[in-house]
Amino acid sequence: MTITDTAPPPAPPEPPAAQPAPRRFRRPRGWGSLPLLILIAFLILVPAGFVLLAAFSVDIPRPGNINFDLTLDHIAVFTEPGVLKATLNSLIIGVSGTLLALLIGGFLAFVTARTNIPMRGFVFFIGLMPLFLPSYVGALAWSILGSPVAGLLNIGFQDLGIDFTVNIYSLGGVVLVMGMFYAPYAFLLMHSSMSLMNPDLEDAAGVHGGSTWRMLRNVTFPLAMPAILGSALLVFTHIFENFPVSQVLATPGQIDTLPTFIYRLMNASPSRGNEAAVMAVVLVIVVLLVTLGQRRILARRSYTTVSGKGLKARRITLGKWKWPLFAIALVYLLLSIILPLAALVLTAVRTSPYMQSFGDLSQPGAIDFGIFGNVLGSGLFLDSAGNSVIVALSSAAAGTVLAFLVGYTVYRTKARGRGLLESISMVPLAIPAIVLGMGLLWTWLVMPFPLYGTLWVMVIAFIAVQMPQGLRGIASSIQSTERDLEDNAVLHGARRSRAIMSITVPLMRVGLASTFLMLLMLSMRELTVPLFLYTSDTHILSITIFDQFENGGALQQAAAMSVIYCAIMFVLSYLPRRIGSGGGLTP
Amino acid sequence: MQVTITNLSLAYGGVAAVEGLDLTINDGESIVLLGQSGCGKTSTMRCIAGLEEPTGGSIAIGDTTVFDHDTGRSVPSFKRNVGMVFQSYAVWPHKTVLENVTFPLRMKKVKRGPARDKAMEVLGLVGLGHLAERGASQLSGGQMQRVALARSMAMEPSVLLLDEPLSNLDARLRDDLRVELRHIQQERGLTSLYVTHDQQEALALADRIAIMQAGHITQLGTPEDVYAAPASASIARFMGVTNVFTIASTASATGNKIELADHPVTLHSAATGPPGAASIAIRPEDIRVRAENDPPRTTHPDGTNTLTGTVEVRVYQGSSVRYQIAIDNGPQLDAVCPAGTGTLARGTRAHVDIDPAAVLVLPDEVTEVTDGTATPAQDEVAA
Repeated sequence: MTITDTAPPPAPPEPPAAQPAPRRFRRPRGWGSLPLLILIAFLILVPAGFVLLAAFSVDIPRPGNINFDLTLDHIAVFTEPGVLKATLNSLIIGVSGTLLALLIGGFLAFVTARTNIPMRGFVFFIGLMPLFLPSYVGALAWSILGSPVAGLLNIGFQDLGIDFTVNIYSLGGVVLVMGMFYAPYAFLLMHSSMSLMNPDLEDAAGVHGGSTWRMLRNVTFPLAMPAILGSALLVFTHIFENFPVSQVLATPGQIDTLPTFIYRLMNASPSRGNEAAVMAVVLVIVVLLVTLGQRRILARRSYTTVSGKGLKARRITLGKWKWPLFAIALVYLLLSIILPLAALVLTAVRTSPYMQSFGDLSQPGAIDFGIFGNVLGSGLFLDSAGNSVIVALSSAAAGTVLAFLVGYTVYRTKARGRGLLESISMVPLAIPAIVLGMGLLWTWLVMPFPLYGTLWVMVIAFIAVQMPQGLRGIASSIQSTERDLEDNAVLHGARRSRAIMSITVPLMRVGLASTFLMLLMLSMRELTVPLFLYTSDTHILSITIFDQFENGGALQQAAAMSVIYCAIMFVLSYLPRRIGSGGGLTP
Repeated sequence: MQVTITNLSLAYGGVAAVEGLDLTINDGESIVLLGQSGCGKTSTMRCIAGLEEPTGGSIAIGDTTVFDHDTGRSVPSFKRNVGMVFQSYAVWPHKTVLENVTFPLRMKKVKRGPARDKAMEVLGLVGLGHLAERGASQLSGGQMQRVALARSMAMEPSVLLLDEPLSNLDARLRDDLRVELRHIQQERGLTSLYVTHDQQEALALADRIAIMQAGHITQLGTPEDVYAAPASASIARFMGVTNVFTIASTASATGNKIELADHPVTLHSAATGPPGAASIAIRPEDIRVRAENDPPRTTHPDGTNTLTGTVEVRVYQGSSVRYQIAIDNGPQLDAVCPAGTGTLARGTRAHVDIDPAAVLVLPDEVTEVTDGTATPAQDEVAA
């Protein structure tokens, strides 16, 4: 990989070259996509390249000194004690967490899509809820709940005289939290697969002599298999590369995972960036393999055939199992949302950081809700929140525009290199956030413009990291927008750019708006990437909360801030749904 | 096996889809339920299959009552031994053709070997023996429908239900499969109920046609009966009669002279029509067209109605020609004439001749099966 020739200044994102071709309704072709291609490659491939370079060169990239002396010495890191253990732990957490997430998600998907469980809408909502809580906030809350010494659950057990200690700082604890907070992804994929299933296929099993159980085993589950496998691989990559949960829950229990190991190498003094890079390459390879597998599975013809008739998925009557199954869903709600939120609120309003028993709370002055006011008014919160808003708004806006330009070029033009453009845009999916964070750090340390240490470096980093999600959002919208409508405007005398602005963009406004909001939300919750890029002047909310918890000093403030943060996230996640569902194309 | 449906009712959230329906399918008979979408025909079929729970009435297959609202008896779908061919084929895409067809046999605990033999036999019958090992998602629409048919026949169902099985296929294939279906049904003596909105299909496949409108069976009879004598103007319209006109008043329907409501035209009819008659219907094939200065044909019966007008549209259909003729001071008439008798160009002045016997006098609607058409053809079938 050569680095020297990839340093042209980022070209301003401009529409894929208007064509001076004689026939004005022709779409841009040729190399009109080149500026975009260079920009995207610069944003995404350069950081990835730096990681690869660092893995095999004598020293990490530094400003004014990019080292091309290649060496394989760093591979020796694998002989280090603990590396194998960390890899093994990551695999254990990945596999068991995935199984747990599938179990929870699959159960909820099945009961909401295919049975008459009571309060179906509410149970569906239970399946989605954990999406509103960033996984590290969930992990932080669970560390308050389940730490072996001072965990609220353990205090509660003591109060009740039950001799049982929950230890969340264990492999089991990490698996539990990962499984619970990634279950919604599995839930959503499986729910759509199960509810879109053509009921005729199942009726056919009934009519031809299969009992309900036979029908489920022979028809329903096999048909849902692609969705189950697809979500398994998706969830696995997320859990495998997840850094914050492991950092919060596994590290205190002296358990290493690949991401925490990498983080530790980076933060060691002196920093062992080269070895971290080697480990990062391993992580990328695993994730890449799994991602490829996932694409293959999802690309296979899906079995969910939709017929012309109104689909009315058959619901199984649960009978006496109705309420027990409902109770299971409630337990999940309790463990994933209610207990964590309650723990955060309790920690925030408690005036004394020490608590022997829940009885302490009944003493006068033990609880003070003024903390929320204090935190809201504190300089740290206001600065972080302000920074978060600036970063999130800028990166979401720029990300949406860029995704639109790429999406338009890829799906609407015959420009050369558009396949490449799409592939590069999707690369961040296969690169764990922790690896991309390292790469972005080195990239912007080395760059001759002084962006490192400003908020803009985070904006640029977020745009790069969230490119796949942005492009996906735009792609589905652009593909469902009739291209003839835009061509028609051109045939009636508008320039291509004018036609795009006055026809295509307005038609896609719902898709554009929901992509923007989705990127906004992702930017608000991103933790791992900014962890490498922030400086003391550029705290954002997620970092501030993480920092306060990690350094232990300000647990109360951190908890209060988490609660406020969750409220913001809830609103942000709620908005796209409102717009997505209520919008349509009606003016 | 004989299927007896008594006083069947089905309502979705208070809206009645089927109301008090009685129908008997004799052993080995093919009945076609013909009606527009939303008339309740598919609901009726799904009740027989056990895929819907009726809100009233009873259903018996052979000697077994599979559903009785009064006693609360309801045999689950998978124990009814009913075969069903779905409009969407419902061939399981994750199984091979053979696995699809052996499924009902395996459910009946038939051993693997005999099940395979039986499946291969039925697959041969529908001409798909060579595709047995093929994955079902790789088949074309026509092949899928054959698999669905084979799957249902393999279980030797007491009754075979077919829910618009041909409507997703293209026209040529539909014609071919229609003939094939009828052949298999007759050869095997399958008791079957076929649901469709296509009157051509109904005429081709039925021993008896049951016309269904708004949750009721409004006419039941052999294809010939229904075609020759539709019970109401709306049935006539549904059977492809485009020339349906309102009568001025019921009084004028007497004495075989009928005055149209919207046009100053009077027609002779061979029939006086039932009381309450409100429309006349004339089949396009029964209208003869000749140029204004041509003489009437020699076989011109007495009392033939002759009207004069201008050819508005001429559509050449290969074996026939379809005209739309605007009658002077009268309605537009549709006429279908055999091709080859010399066609008239657009704008030509023309006479139309209508036999009084072809002028049917009908009530607008009927709500129940009337007179003897309820159970004809009994002896035919028994014979």
